[in-house]
Amino acid sequence: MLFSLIKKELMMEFRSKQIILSMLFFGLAIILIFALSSNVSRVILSNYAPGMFWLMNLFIIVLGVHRSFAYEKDFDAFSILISNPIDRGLIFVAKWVSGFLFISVTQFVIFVPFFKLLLLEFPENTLLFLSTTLFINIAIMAVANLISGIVLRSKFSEILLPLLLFPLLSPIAIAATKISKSVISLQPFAMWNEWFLIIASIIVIFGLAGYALFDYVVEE
Amino acid sequence: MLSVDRIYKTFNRFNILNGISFSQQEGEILALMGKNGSGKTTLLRIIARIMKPDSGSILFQGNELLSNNSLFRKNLLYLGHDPGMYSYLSAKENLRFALSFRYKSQPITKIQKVLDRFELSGFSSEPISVFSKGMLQRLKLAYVELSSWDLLLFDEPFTGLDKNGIDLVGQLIKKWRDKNKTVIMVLHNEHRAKQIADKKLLIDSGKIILD
Repeated sequence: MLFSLIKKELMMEFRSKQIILSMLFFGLAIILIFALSSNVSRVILSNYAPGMFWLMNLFIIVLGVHRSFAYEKDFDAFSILISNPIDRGLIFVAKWVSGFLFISVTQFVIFVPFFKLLLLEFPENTLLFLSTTLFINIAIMAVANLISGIVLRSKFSEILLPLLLFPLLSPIAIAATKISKSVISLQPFAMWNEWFLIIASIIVIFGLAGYALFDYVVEE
Repeated sequence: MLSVDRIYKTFNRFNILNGISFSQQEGEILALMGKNGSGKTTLLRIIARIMKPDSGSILFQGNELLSNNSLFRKNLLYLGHDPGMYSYLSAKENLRFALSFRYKSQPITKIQKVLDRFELSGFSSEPISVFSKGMLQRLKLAYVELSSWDLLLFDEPFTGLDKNGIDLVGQLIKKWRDKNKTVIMVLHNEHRAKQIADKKLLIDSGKIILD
């Protein structure tokens, strides 16, 4: 069942191409704004780069998760989906997995323009930078999909989503910035392990909460 | 088969359902009638567990539908006003996904055959966003044909259909009756309800006024 649900999410995106493309263009636009408006030295900019990277990610994630649930609203597909004899928690897991894939693909594409356009050095430990980014994405998508599910039935979901999501994503954004900054400056794991554990805790808490609560939050 | 007991539902302090109770035997076709806004669709959506009632109980095949066990809905099929499918996917893909979400798979030849019967075979690979209202209604009928169910909740099955389509629904209802299937339909046409339904429930202001 989970496989079918994920396949449906991927096929929808393959057909419409709306989630990844919109995130990609919005992300590139933000990078361009950062690049053209910042008139500071490379040292200062590299200090702020991890924060800018995650700020950009938060903006594009709101766009992506909103679109992912908007598909469900078209033709009232979501009502039929939840009326089926499926574990509704799996719908959350499918959205979580597909959302993680979409944001990760987007980040891989905008990774190079981000560093190039801001005239920054690539992280020396690129592999660790990318793998920690993927790990943080798991946490962000768990929170984002739970909140999107909660606001889905609201007429004001476009307004409610960022209003609820940004405060909840703030601790992740702070931890993510600290982790990325530490990885870029080649600090040992012991220096940033507590931030890593915060992200791990968020994955466990919001993953379990999303799976368990989705049954209740999606009903009208 | 189905027992709905004292269902209450309020939206913005407005009582939509005011203690609705009724029961339905296996093989019975029930027409749910009433003015716009009387609560017919809300009742169907509550039985399908798309909506949560404020209070009440719904027993289906001896199981409490309002509990969290999704498998209690295994033999229940709901079709609403809207197509309930994904606009970017084709008719074939939508049917395959919809069936897989009901733990059922049908060979593509069978799906194609059913689409052909509902005069949709020429459009089976097109995204359903290009379908007319009548075609979407036919697609829903194809879905009903391919699914297995004991209780069908169908909100306005005749909407958007041409004469052929209406005849097709008539044939399907006859087939469901022969197979002893249980159906609840929202209908607006009194004459049609008399023709096809065994029982009629008239709802007004969230209450059953005629059973």
